[in-house]
Amino acid sequence: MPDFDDELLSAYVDGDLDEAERAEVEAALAADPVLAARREELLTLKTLAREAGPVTLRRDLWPEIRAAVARRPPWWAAAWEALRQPALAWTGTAAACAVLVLVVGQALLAPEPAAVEAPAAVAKAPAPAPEGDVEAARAAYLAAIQRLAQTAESESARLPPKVQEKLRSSLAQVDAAIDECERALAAAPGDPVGHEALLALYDKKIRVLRAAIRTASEQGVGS
Amino acid sequence: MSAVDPDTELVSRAREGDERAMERLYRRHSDVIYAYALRVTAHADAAEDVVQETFVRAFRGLPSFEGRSTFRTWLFSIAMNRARTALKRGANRREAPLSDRVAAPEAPPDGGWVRRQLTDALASLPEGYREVVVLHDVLELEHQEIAELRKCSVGTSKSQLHKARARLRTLLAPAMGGQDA
Repeated sequence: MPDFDDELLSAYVDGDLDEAERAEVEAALAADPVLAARREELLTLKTLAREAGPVTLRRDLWPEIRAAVARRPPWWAAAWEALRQPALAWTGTAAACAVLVLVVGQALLAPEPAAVEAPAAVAKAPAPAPEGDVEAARAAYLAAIQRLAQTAESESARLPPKVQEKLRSSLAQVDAAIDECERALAAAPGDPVGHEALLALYDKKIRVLRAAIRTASEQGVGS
Repeated sequence: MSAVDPDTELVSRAREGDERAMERLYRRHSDVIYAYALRVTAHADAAEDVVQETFVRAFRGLPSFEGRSTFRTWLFSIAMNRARTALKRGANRREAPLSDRVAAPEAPPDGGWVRRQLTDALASLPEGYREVVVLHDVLELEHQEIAELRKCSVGTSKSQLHKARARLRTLLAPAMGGQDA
């Protein structure tokens, strides 16, 4: 039955069809033994695949994993502290001062290059970037940070002094963690977890800068 | 995240450095991650490396896990990247087919040969097809989760599964005693 949509049959054996589609497939199955045989093949495949699923690790890997996790690298503590702080924690004061919320202009909060979003790795979850992408991601992050930092510097004057102080403090914390991570990577360039942590910290800095720009814009409209 | 994550409490404790919570997370998920890695890499040693690297990275990276997906989905995403890297590393490695080294668990004698053919057929699928068929048909993940993991739409996931199955049917037609698709 060459005209029959085989993808529909695949969805049928998965139980993914609505009532009308299911009825259509069942009518076709009743009329066409070749199609019915295909359904049986698909069901057999599914059964075999499901039965192939359960496997048990040949040995317990936990002791090695535990030891590796316990050997936390030197940048761990700083990275942990920087990453766990919410990017918008310091914006409450400013937000309270704002009368209106600005629809932020494209120029001010232009999206980062696509490459910045994709390798957000650990930070944005779920997928860490493959090693091959790390250098490209790093360059994209640094370019985005440079652009946002310039905007943030010019815009942050609108922020209340206390918020400016908190902004500087947040950025200093992330920068210190980045410095530690970069030093560690200079000593151990092949550490993939270090690279991912560094990208996560860059991502964190971007979020802090964007929050600063957004808040400053709100201040500008409110004042 | 659409569903409640059953690992939330353990993840929270593990984030604070609770090793017992980490161990429980490992015990809960290590076999399914191994099953994924084994079917995708087709090498038991490589699959063990994938499991180890996945959990080390996950536990070290917990501070930056924001809970936008479930912990299991996050683990799978790490495992997928590790498995892809393992495949690249092992591209030039020549080893016996997986079925010669990994016995199908509890395979009855009458179906054992077909299962071994399935194992080898899976290993010969293109990487993307293998991923989707392992995630859906072997590990029984929903298309929604697969789409999230593979950064594609649910429709694309379904379509790729269909194509992967068609390829498998062709590869397995002699073993299944049916007609070539």
